Amino acid sequence: MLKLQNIFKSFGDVNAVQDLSLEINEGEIFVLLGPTGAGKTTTLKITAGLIQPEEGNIFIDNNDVSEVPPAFRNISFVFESYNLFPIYNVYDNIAFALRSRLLQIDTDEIDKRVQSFSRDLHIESLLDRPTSTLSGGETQRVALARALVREARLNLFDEPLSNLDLKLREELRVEFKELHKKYKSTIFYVTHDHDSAVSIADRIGILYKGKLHQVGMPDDLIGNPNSIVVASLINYPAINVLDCTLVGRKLNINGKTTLVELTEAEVSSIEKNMKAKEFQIGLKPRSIFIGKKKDLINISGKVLHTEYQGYNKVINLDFMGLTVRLVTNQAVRLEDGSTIDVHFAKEDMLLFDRKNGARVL
Amino acid sequence: MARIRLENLKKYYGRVKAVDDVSLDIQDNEFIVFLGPSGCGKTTTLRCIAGLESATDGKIYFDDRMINDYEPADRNIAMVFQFYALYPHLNVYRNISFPLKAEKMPAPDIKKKIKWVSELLRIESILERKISELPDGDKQKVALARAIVRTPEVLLLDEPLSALDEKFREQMRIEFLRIQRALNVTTVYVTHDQREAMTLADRIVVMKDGKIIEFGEPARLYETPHNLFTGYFIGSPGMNFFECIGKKDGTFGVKTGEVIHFSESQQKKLKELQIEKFIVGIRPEYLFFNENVDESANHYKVRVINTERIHEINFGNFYIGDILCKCFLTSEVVSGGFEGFVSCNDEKICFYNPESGHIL
Repeated sequence: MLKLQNIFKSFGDVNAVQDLSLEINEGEIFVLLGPTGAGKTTTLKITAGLIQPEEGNIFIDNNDVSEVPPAFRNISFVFESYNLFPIYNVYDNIAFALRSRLLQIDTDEIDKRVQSFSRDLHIESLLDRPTSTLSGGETQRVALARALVREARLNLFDEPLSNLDLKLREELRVEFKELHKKYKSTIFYVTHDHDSAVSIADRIGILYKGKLHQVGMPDDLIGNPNSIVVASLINYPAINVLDCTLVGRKLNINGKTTLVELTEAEVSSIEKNMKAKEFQIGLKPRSIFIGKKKDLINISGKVLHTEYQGYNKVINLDFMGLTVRLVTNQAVRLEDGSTIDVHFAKEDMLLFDRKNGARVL
Repeated sequence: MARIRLENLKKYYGRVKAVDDVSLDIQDNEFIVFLGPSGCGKTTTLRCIAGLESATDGKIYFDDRMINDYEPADRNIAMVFQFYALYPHLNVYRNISFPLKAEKMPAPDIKKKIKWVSELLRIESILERKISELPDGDKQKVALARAIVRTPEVLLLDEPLSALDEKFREQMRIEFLRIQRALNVTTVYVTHDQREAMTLADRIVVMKDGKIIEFGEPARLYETPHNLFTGYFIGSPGMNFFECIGKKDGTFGVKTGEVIHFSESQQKKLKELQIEKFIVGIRPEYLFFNENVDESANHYKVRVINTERIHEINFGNFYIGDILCKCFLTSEVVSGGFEGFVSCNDEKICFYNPESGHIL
């Protein structure tokens, strides 16, 4: 439905967006995930027509809209800072865009739509209130209603939840998803919050330093990242990264200790693609388990600290001077400073080229 | 290093009771987190301790000194804010040395101090860099270094990680903990993020509407919250709560009439409590879905309407009466609309008074 084709945009020396191409399907929630400065907001603004790209084209429903002014692209936009009109009440804020002379919607229809969306977003009791008297969560709901009420072809969301309390954010995420089930609008959503991304997205694109690294369903990206950048942005708790060297078939840590031996086939598949010997092992905290197990990779480490996160505990281990974190829901109590055995399966180990971060195994 | 005591602390802005009769005893070297939603009074309480706000009523003690009338500068505290407030055009070294120069500390001593603090925070390699060139996580480390270089008795942190990317936040949580342990300084940390609170705190102060709801160790607050609000606010997802009514025939049901089966020991406990109406609290991960029923356990017949994945764990959504609840799903299940039973162990259930919200 939306297609961005080879988009380039720089600000001075900074390449904000580099050769970005992506497609968003009708009715899906597409999340662009990346850290601050990755180019997320720039991409949204280019889609909306608020920024002109230096190169590339934007298609909506197969029509090239690159030269179409923002008002005629049939796109709604929710900004991180909401931008409600403080002097208007909630009703007038929501109705504002519908009253545009471009649209020529009659007053009864406007009223119907405002009322219906206010009900869905649980703000029907606030319609008479000036927006300056609303709480953070209420303001956010009004901003969402104002965007959705337009029933635009495409809805753009720029970190709409990041100014909210964590608890409120979690609740609104669930509502957002329910609302989407009902209206099936096409949503292009950008955030730096992997939790939000994973919980609401149909598909996620990982944007880092202006480049789109990988696009896929949340589980695909978590299970099968194509680079260290993707692996470290999508996983929570963060993925463990251990530097290692390939000597013959052995993957060595700290230059000497062999962690695992690869098969001939694995080594040749790595060597087919590159000459590199320096790698990084990516290991998810959830793939490491307490105790020894035959035929799996066993290591031992000193407990540095246990983070208690309710059902889950994150155990920080010192393994040969490197910090390795693992998640467990076992009811164990580990004293700081004690030494424990842990194991993991070779299949759960991801291997990346240390130079360019690309996945090699 | 100081013990902090708040005695009936109040701070009113006109009719708004931002801090409403807060009393608290914080031990020497303890890491305390004030946790609550926006507007609960956590930051105002912190600012009263710092001396940036004067209390409307009540007393603040550092050890045995009442410090209400001390200027902030005389309280021997250090504070770190959400927005780092560093000098962007100065390098890291000069930012950190600033408070020491202001104290007219001799240059060799300043050097020693900066060596110590930069090793502690592992920022030796960026001392010559300009603030404006640093990534956000490093800026916050520099702000922390500048705060602790004077070796304050009390370290106050006001949402220091909120402005950072999620990714940095997780790293910085671990750093904060390491540094606080190494420093031995009484620390008060304000946040709305329960994950930060759970990870960092020796004890958490849960606040709401200017009042302390509960004060305790993270594990205890999670497993046995003494108040409904704590159970809701801590944990992701939060606790399930639903109202339950004891019937004349000795059975129990929800408002809409469906029967809740309690195990024998729970029934006995409920009889002893002699209450007709109560709220049941149970964490989603202690509530298991099964197609078959174990009659002796606590159980309830449900229809799972959809499933949700939170931190790689599958949860099922279903209704108990008219309340939407979540349970743990052990297997990969289909897209929803399947029937069965949820059950849980006795020790995982909490009962609450529906009026006060307190545990029974």
